[in-house]
Amino acid sequence: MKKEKQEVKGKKRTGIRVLGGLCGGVLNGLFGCGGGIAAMLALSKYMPEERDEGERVRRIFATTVLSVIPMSLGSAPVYGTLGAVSMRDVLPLLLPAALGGIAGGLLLSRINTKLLKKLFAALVVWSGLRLMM
Amino acid sequence: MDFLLTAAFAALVGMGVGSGGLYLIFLTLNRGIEQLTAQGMNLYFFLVASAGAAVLHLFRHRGDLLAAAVLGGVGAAAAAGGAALAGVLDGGLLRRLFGSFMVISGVFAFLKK
Repeated sequence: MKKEKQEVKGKKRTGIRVLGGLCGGVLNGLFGCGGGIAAMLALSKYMPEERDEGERVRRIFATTVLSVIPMSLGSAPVYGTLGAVSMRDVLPLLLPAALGGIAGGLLLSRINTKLLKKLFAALVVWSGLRLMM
Repeated sequence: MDFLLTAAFAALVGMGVGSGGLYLIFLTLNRGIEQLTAQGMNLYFFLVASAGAAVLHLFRHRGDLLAAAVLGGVGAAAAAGGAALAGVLDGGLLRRLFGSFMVISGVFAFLKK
């Protein structure tokens, strides 16, 4: 009985992850971002509890980053093929992006990410409204 | 200045606070870059920004690799399809759809505990 329950739980977990991947992938490809939102929702559903809730949240963040990389690898070349973006557009971004990303990875355990997310959520809403006009 | 701003956005990517959309908004609203081009630039930006962070996360055994493999594997195929769809949509429509998505996801993120 216990084994059956675990199997059902395992199948549900896989199903949530597949659904999260599908939704995240479509968002990532269609909008060039947003895959992380779906990935994070899916991961929050079944990421096991940890003694330290902060550690669980950092684990979800880390897994989200690892999940969205393949999504972006799937969509970025398509944008290149469409002629929407060229190396001339991308080259100036590479160095600051690399340095900043490493710094962010190092800072993850030192920052109150909850507050940051609230601040940026507000900024995203405001920006989204501007884009719709 | 652009170098510092790009690095700052990349740091947020590394922390996983979802700044990919913010950088895209910066490219369209502040730099006046066309929506589809900005989306493509943002994807390459994210790939580079997250690579360093991903290596750190792997080195510190922080991520769930199985979960990432399932999400990422399925997501990669879906992303290619999404990108193809973005290529056929009208630029103005794509921008408004993106704006709507930003509003919805921003509200959701703000209200989430």
